[in-house]
Amino acid sequence: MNKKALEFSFSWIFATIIGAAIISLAVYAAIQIAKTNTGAEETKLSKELTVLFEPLETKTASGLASAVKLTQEVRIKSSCEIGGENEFGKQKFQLMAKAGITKKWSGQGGNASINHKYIFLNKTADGKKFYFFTKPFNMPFKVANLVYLTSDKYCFVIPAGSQFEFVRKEMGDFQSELDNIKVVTSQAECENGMIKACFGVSGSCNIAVTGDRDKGIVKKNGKDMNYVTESFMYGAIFSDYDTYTCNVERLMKRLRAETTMYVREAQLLSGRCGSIPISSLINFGNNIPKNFESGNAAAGALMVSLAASLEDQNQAVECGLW
Amino acid sequence: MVINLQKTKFSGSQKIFDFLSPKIPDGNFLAFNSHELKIFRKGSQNVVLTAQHRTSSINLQKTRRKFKMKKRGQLKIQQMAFMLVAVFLFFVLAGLFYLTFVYKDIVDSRNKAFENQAAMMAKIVADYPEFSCGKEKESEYCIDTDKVIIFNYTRYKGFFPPTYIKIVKLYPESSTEKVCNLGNYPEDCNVYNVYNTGKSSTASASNFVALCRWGTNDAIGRVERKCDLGKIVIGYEVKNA
Repeated sequence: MNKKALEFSFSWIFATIIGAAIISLAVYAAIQIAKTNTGAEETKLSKELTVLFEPLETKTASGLASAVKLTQEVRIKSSCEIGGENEFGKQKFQLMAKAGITKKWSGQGGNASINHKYIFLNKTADGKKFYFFTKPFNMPFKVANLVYLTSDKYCFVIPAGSQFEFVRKEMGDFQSELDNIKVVTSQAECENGMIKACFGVSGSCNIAVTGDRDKGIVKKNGKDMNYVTESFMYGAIFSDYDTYTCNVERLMKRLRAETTMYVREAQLLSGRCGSIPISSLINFGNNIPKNFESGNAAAGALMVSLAASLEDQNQAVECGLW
Repeated sequence: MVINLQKTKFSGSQKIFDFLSPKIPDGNFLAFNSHELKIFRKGSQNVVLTAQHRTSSINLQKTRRKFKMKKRGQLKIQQMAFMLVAVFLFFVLAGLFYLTFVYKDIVDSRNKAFENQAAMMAKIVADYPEFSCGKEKESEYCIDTDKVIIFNYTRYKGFFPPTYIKIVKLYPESSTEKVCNLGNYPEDCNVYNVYNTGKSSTASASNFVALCRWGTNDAIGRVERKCDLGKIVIGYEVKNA
């Protein structure tokens, strides 16, 4: 028997174990509460972000650019759902801040979803400063204002006299707000760390755009993204493949729904005044492709030509529908 | 040598010293704790009884009472357990109190966000292509009632964030509220139920808007845009904390 051993009565052992359990529980609860608070704050910010997109639908917000500078670095994670046959799909956003001693992205916040907006961005966008601009998607009537959001720095290589001169002009208009986009005539002018987007020119570019203002292909990360209209061209440049194709399908669904609405409006107006022939609208509606993927590229071009014809007819009638 | 008193049988008035003294080797000491009596050798570092203790006799009944201390110890543990439960309950209640405040704050923030969104929607809904009249950069805050009357809100279910969108014609004034349908449109009605999710709405935001349609101007005999003054009402759900 060790006679020098310390004697620990049961009450001490009991108190020590229970005390340790209570302290552990208290520490665990404190960590959980801190996580919940972070999560609640991030969810709130995600929702506020979707509310911030709201005014971008206005006519005055078409062709608008701006930058948002934040006090700390945040990560925007997004996902896109096409939705069922009778749904318009949605985009989900999750805002993350760096938290804890390790300064890792917390990811505690919930998603905020948005059904009636089309935001073109990469699935993950990190940064302290976010840039966005809008462009209307008209086919031939307005379908929606498309929003392009990025935190990356871009170098747009547009050779002088190219068919993409309109990009130089448009980016020039946004120059004061979009200081992350530099438009140059040769690749040598691009700074290190910038994403090189080459318009109608080959070379070692991260993004290669071929075609013209109305239709073409954006090659990015080894994938081809077909586009019609410049609105989709920018969409393909500033978003990843999945987000782009998803938003294109969502917009085509909206375009079909709006066409059906105009068919009904034309029927309503037929007794009052002359408007576009219903058959033209129905024909246009029947030729709206699901997307612009390789098999549907020709369908996209057909849709554009039919839309141009519809626009001419709408201008000529007594009661224009749009 | 250890003698377990709990297992040792004593006669009623027997003195413990008398019982133990023959058993303790000469020069050794007697010591006890709550469980047992121990006899230690000389020079032991453990509890050592003084000469007074050694010589005094201990009443067996009193000694037995000492061993009832075990029950007193149990009572102390019970006290401690009660105390621990009380402390635990205190923390739980404090936590619940805190969570109530946090939950209320979250609900308030959520309501505020929905209120902002509804207020924003009231300002911009006239620019949605489904309701808008006129061309880009023209006809701001103008709603085409020809579009509104044929708007199929079941097709757009869940598309817009508000719980409902309602348009009320304010001027020319009407004494009664008549919901518009294809039968009474455009002259004999003043309320357009544009969109309804079926969710209960407890608050709304509104904004004035021009309500226009194609119609014949009898004075000049030509079709033109005829406009009235209206109000757009956006309903949203308010949750109670």
